[in-house]
Amino acid sequence: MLLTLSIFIPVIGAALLLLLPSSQKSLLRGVALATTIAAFVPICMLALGYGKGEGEKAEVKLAAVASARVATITDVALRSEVQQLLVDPFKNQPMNLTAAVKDRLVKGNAYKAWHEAWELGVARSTVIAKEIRYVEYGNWITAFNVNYFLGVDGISLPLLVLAGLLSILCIWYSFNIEEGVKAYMILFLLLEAGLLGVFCALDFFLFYVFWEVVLLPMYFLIGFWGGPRRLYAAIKFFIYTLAGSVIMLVALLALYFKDGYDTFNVLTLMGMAPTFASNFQTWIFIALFAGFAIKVPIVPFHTWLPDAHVEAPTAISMMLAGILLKMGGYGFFRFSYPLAPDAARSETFVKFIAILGLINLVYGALCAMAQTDFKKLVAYSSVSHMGYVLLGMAAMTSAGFQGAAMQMLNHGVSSAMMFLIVGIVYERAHHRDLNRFGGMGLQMPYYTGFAVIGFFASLGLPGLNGFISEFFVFQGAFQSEGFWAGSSVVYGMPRWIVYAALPGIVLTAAYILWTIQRVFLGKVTDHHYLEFKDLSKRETLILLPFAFLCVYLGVQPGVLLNYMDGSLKALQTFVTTKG
Amino acid sequence: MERPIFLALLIVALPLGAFAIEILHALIFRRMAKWNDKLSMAAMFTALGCALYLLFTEVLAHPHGIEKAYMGSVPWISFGGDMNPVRIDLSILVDNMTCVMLVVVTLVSSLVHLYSSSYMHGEERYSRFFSYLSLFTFSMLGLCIANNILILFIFWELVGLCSYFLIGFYIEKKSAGDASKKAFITNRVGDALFMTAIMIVFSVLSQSKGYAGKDVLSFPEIYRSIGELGSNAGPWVGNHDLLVIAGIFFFMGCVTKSAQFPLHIWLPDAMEGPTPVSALIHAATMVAAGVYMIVRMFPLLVGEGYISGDWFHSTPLEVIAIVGGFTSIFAGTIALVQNDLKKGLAYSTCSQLGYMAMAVGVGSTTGGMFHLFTHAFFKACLFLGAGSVIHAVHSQMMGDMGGLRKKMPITYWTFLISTLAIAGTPLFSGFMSKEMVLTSALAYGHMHEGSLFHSLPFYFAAITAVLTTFYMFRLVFLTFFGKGAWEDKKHGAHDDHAHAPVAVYAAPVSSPGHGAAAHGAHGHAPAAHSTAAAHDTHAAHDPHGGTPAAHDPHAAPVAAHGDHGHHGEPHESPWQMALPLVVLAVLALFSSGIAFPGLPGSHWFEHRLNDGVLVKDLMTESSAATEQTRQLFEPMVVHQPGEPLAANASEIVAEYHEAWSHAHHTVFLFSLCAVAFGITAAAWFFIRKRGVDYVTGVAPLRGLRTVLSNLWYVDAFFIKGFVPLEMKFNNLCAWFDRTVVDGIVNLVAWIANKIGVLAGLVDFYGVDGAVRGTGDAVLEGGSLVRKLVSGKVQDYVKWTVVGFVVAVAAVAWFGH
Amino acid sequence: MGHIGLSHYLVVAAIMFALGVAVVLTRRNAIAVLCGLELMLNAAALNFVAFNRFGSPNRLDGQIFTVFIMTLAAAEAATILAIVLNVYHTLNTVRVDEVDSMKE
Repeated sequence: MLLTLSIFIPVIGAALLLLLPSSQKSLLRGVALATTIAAFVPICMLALGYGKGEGEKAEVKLAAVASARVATITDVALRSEVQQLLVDPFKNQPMNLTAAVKDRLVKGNAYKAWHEAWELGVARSTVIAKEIRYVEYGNWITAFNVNYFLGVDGISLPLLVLAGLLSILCIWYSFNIEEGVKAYMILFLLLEAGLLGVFCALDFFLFYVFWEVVLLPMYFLIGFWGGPRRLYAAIKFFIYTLAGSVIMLVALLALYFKDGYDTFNVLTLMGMAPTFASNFQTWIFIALFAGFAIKVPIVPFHTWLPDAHVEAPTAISMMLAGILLKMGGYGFFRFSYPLAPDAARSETFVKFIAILGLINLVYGALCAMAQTDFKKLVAYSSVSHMGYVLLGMAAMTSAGFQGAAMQMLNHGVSSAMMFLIVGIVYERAHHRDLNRFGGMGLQMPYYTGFAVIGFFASLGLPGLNGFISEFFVFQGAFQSEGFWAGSSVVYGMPRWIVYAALPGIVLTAAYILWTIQRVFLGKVTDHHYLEFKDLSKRETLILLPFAFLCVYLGVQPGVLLNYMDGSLKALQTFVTTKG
Repeated sequence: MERPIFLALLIVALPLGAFAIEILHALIFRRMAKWNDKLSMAAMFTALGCALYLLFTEVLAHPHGIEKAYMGSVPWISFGGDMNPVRIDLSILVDNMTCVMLVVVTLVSSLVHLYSSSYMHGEERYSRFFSYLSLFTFSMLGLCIANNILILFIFWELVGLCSYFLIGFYIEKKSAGDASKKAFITNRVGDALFMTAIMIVFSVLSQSKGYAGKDVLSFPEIYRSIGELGSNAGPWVGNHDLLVIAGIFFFMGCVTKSAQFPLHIWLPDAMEGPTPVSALIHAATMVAAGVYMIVRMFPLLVGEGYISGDWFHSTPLEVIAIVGGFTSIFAGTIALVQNDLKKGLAYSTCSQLGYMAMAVGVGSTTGGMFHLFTHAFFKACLFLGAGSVIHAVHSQMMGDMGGLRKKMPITYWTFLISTLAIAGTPLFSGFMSKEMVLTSALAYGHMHEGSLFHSLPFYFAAITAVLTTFYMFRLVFLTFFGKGAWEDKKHGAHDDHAHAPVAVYAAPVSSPGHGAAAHGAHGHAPAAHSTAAAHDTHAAHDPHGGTPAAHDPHAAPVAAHGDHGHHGEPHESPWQMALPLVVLAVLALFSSGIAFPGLPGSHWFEHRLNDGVLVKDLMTESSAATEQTRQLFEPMVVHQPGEPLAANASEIVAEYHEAWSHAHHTVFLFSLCAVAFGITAAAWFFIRKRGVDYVTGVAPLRGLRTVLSNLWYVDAFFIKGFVPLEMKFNNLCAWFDRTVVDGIVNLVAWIANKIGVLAGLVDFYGVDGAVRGTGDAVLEGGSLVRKLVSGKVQDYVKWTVVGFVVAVAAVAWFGH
Repeated sequence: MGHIGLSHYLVVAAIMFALGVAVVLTRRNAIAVLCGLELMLNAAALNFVAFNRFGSPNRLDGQIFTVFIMTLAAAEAATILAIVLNVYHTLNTVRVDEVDSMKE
């Protein structure tokens, strides 16, 4: 119930906003903010509960639903036959059923029930499924076996929390939008609903629906409220992402139609994944890669990012960098890796992902160094930081996975904070030219303090959150070759990639410090800047949670790491063991 | 919790608490509190008290100090389960070295706090300075008590961060911003390699049985692994090359932090920061962190030596010895031609750090630590003294000084004492530590008879000793002797205008209209601008200027000093500045005990800091440790002539002890000669007249001067060569991204667009053409058929008849 | 002269019919078309009589039919003449090829 609530409260809020008059700006803003806060409450409850071990387990819930389905078979003989079949769901897959059995089932109207029970039986058997809780299950489109299946585990829940929190802060910051407030708020709430849905959907079709739901509000939000080149940026973003999603759809359908599975249930597919042929897995991996790679973004599919970020309004940039990019990373964790484990741990793809991560890291940093637009620089730094996620994932070690997962969260916090920093100064100066800035430290010292926290967190200074994830990514990646040296199944990432990534650390420090120098240090370079006011109360209160998280997660990362440990261990076990 | 652990934690927590309170105040009230300085000072002096208490009760109370180190840990990060465990604990170590470091850091820091309360008085961002100092001290102390190399690394970087803030304290100045940026980025290079070394250690250790699930990055575990290596067991067997790489990379971290060649370039520029910062960070503590770290990592650096059985042949150590030795001589030569007092001291620091590193490289960790200990005190005294002088004459250039001996007696005497210490004069503390360093270097050379490579460290060190005395006394004589430059200066040069606050706003040249009239508060802007410019031109005109003067703007006419009614006459500094000088000078004299071999108390340091006490303890815990392993640490114990050797000492140990005894005497004599020669030479060159650099007078050395003044072109290599090239590369990448990668995307879009147009055409002319064609055909057919309907009856009848006839014919033909 | 059989009557009737069609198709005057039409009708009547005399002499069907035809012809002629008169009133012509207002 909690998950559904959190996803649909924004939808209800949007509907409510439709009814309100568009002239009442403060009312609209207030309602929107209240909605995001209301959506965050169930998420918090989820987070706290999961940590304590509460929440309906996937194992339990799916078993209950399965038995309920079986119970609907009226013919007693048939029912017991079905129950027999379900004892070993792996042996009795749809394609393994003899024609006679199948005939009987179909004639007795029991096929659908058996099929669903089989689905759920496989679904709850995987190691990954054991970590999933707060499950919600209901039939949606029975003709195609599409179910309304939601659930969270240690990987998705922190992202949900991040999405909820960022939505609140971004909506609050969006109070500075003056035109078309109603439309903006409605679109934003729909965006939030889509985001929350993406992270908890466990039915592939449902996931795809939510994935696409995210696109359209984004298009309008960039296209209407953005900068001078907003139309170009918006359409580029939309079509690029859509192209990837369409290829992902192919994978989706391939999995659905494979061997008569006829299921969109991701856990079921995971369960059957070890039996997929290597070739098939390779193609699935590539197709899913196309969809997720564009979102991460992976060089060379990243060029939509600088344009989208620069042209989008500040709050939208924050959402984009903070949480939308994580959809790609999450996709790898949740879908790519478990559904194509052979491919994921094979030499080709480990090297592939690792080298792409390396390129992201170094190339992103190099491009960032050359930028003169503040926002574009932060955009490229996002590209660079997502490289860490890829390196961590390719490593297949616990440190690697933890580092990658944590980097997604840390980057969400620090990157959103950096965009906020840019937005604050842009609102005052109305330009983002780094060469024209200077002396903000003298003019706005309070703001500079926060900016320094954000920038150093992004740089990976120990004591702040960025370091933990960066260190563990490197550690995991470094360890990979040695750890998997004796394994015939997993290919450990070659060490030279880590060595090659080290300059990235120095480059990151270089461009961040240079930016700090250009913007905050030195004398004030334009007399207009002398009129700038320091942070307003609203801006301070929005910056505070970010600053707090940067410091807290840097000093006490155990909170987050322990949270994710179970799920990541399960993922690692699942992907690295030959099924 | 044991008392030393508690005390250590308390010592670290005090400055952290001060910082936290100050920051919270700033967060809530949006400005720094006025009482920051008092709070920070109180915290520091309390910490100092605790540290002294710890030192006296634990270390000095026993002949060998802390026999068994105190350790404590708290779990911090743990994940990965059984398959791939990762565990890092927050662990503390308190042993002799820790206690000593704690005292050094708290002592110097407290004195600097006190000094700054006067020196920085009147600065706009005065309170903020103290919060930075607190944060720095906390970080440095944390580094000293860390028992885990990763925790050490975290504090290492935090120290670097504080250095960044403090070097760039004068944020209005571009040079300060550049210097701090340079420092941080250069340090990042070393840190990346340091981190790699940590990763190597972690990877190798965590994969080995017996280390699974343990905190493998803690010192005890690392030492244990090396101990096992001695009996050819443990995780490093077969990972020999990784061990060497790890050792070298750990040293690379030290290279940047402790300013070794070639990554020393940030240290001279770091003089942009206020002088107390230079004293605290870049003389006494932060730069010492590098040496401290390699001393802690010493077993790992020796590591390879265990495999060969001869710890002298460890590659990392050889690298360290050579690099350290080279740095000391390299920096020493540059220090010869510095005309900026602070820069001269900076290069001197760099040179002494080279000594410390070299000492560790030749196997004497005690030597390195001892020199660190004594150096902290006399170098801090030198810097603070320099600050005092700069405060008095408002300039950092020695050309503006001279003859200050009479005017600033306290400063003069403390400075002189410290200089004698750094020169290694007997009875002063520097003598013992320098002697130990040189002795170990010479013994090392003797152990490898005929190997030039191994004798080099000693030659470097020896030449440097002479150079040190020479250039240090040059500084003394140019600053305090002769005729004072201030005697010639007119009072007008520093008028009241000069006391205006340094303009926040740099008046743009292009809008002359925005002058004093438009901005009342910034009315002094043009004037201050010009006086600042005057100073800059003054510096620029200096033909002997090495690097562009790192202008401590404190020297520039900055905030009003209440006690500064007149300008022309330099005078002694207030007690807050003088007292630290005195304390440090006393320590410069006595910190090593009475510094003459044979006198009582002269070896207290070495006895307590016997190399490898900690390591020996830890390694005896490991069952793999053997007698041989333990003995391998014997050479590092200072051997006093006459002290008997252990009965079962190995051959190498015996050989080393002999080499040491020989070296001991040689070095003693050499030191005496070096000091005497240095002082006389410097006096002969520099006392006669003030200001003029007699080295220029000698023509053949002019070329050498230029090279030295340009710092052997190392800086130029980086700044004019490497960095612009790198920036070009960046721009290339950005261009590539914009034009090529994005170009491909746009090209794809363009192609897609054109295909669409093409499809549209195909659709319009082709498909739709067929459709329309069909329609047209039908129309044409229709109009043809329409002609049949002529409206004339006769035509109708005609066609009827025709039709009928055809039908009948057909029936007749085909029918029936 | 041989025996005059059925075929002679049929031939005559066919000739008469053909001549009637020719007149209908080629003459421009409406009255002339009417004449042709009469010819056709009478040819058909002749056929009936011939078949009656030679095919079924005992019956009177053919003869009756001929009377029908003659009646119809008369009625039809009257109707057509009425139409022609009307056409002449409105269109001022009796030429068949000039009456084409119903063309497409």
